[in-house]
Amino acid sequence: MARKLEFKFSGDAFTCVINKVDRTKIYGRVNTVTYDANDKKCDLATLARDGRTIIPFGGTASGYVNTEGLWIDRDELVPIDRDGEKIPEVPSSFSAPTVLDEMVDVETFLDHPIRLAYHLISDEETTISSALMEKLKAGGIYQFPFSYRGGIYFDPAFLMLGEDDTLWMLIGHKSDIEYLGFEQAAICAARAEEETEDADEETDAFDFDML
Amino acid sequence: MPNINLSDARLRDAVVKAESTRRRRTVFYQGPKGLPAYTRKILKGAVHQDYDSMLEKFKTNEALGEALVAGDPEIDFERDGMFLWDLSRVYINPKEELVYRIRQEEVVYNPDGSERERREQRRLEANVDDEVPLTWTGKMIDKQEAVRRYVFATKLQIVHINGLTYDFLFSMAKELHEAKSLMILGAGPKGRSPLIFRSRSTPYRAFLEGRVKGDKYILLMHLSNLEMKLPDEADE
Repeated sequence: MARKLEFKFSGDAFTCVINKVDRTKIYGRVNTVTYDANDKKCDLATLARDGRTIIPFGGTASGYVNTEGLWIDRDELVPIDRDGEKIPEVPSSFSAPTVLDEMVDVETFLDHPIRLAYHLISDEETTISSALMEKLKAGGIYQFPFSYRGGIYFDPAFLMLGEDDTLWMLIGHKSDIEYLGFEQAAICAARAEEETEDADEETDAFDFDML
Repeated sequence: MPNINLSDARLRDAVVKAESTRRRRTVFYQGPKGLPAYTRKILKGAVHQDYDSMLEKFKTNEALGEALVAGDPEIDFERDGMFLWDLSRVYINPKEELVYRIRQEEVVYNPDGSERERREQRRLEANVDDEVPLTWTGKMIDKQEAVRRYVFATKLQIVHINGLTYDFLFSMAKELHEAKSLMILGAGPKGRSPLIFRSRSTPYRAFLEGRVKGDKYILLMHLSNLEMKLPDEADE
């Protein structure tokens, strides 16, 4: 069943049902089927490094271990950042209303790669305020933090209208985009030089004169 | 950082770089006593422990069921739970043997799940650093209109690699900045093909955006493979 998300705009609350839209639902999908020389259908599997242990799909799992290789239960793990500071947990966006109070320009929106698109349908019991619809129809884009299940961070999300005036929520990533000046070429060149030096070091280990 | 062979409005072309813009989050995990925790891949079970192999060994479901109640024939105490690394992807046949020669076929499904066609696998080759540069089509689309029509899943920032390409890209960005629009970018001789960055990777429609501040610029390539539209009702 599709989940409902509650929004608040200038004191007016409204609820929307969210429906994920992806390529499969619009264009269909392409599956690759593999056959052996006898035209028998094959499955993808994993071969361990011993060269003989064949592991079927679902035959591996991931877990956390300490420095001694001992298993750590998931509830004992503490997420930390690069400085060793504990990362506070964030609640699911379904647990409380999302306030729409940050309007962003189209460039800010364009700075974010979008990983998920949801079509929103206003719940029968509530209606979207006319003031909000007016702003959205004028091209307004609202940004807010979103987390589906809760966890260690929010993703940037955007509320806007599509070309046919349907309501959409787009979930993105943060990105690093910066203005580049002429001097940045030097940085690029330096990076390239570093890469070349690394490559040289590797090449030095294989002295071609020896061949 | 892939190379991009790009042409401008005057049909001058140059090879420049495209950088990923995605900001990676750095999250580490600490275990008890504040000690670092590391992820490890472990073995849950190999093919000789799955249902088909067990059935082959015990002949009937009843015999297998009895064996499972009496002991743990599905567990390999020597190997289950061992750490895995240096893994390879392989194909196995229905007898769960390694296969060395394969043939692949694509099955195309409609949005409603029905099969549309079967065809030999297409091998899409990369075309962004080809002899034919990506074409400056001159077809502009207003930014407001574009964001309401396409879902831009990926962004690449086009960067210069020397003084000449700085001038080249800056003038492109300036032209697009003044147009306040995105320009449709295409591959191939006619500039109509989608962009493919690596062999057999997802083809994308590309849109170029330019921003200028003083003598600095941003040239962004927005990539999309999804329109912002609803599925047909019949398919929903």
